[in-house]
Amino acid sequence: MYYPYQPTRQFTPQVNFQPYQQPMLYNQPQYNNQVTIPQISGRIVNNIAEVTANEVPMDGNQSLFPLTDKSCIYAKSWGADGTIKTTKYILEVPEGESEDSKDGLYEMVSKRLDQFETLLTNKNNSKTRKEVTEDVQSK
Amino acid sequence: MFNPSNLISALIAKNPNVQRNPQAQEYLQVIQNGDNRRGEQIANNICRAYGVSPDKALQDAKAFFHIQ
Repeated sequence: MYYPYQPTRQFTPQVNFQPYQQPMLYNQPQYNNQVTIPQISGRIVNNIAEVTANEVPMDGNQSLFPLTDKSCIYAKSWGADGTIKTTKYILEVPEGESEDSKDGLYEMVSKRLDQFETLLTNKNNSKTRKEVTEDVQSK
Repeated sequence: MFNPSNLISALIAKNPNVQRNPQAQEYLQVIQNGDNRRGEQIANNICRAYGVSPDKALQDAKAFFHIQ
């Protein structure tokens, strides 16, 4: 039977599809065995004023900016009010590794060397005196 | 009634990057609460931090989102 208003184009569901390429994979999460290592953003700076807002991530993490002279580290992060919060970590040398203790060690070694030198000098002097005495006696 | 902005904010809130970010959570809450004054204050602070005027930032944002 002929239907005059029948659309000439038949429904062919495969007509616009690409060749079969495992379509299920597109929506599946891809897992890999690589371990993501957390990274710290930031860089070494001469002056904290040279850090721009672009260098502070808006992902909630801090950026760290150590000074060139290693005297302190600045941490910058965005605050909840839209401002950049800066925290300063100042260098603290652990006890026992300070310059003072090195000076004390140097002083101690120097003192011991002085004592050793004095001991040697005294020994030489006494030997010299003995030799002189022997010389005098032989004459 | 369907509100597209509610849908968008709900989608943003479900983003894991946003969920991990306390600042983004705060900003999103301001948007969801409709706190215009607080939003303007945050926007002005961000503009000041980046060294741009609010007008310039608005222009750039419109250009980015292709808004006339």
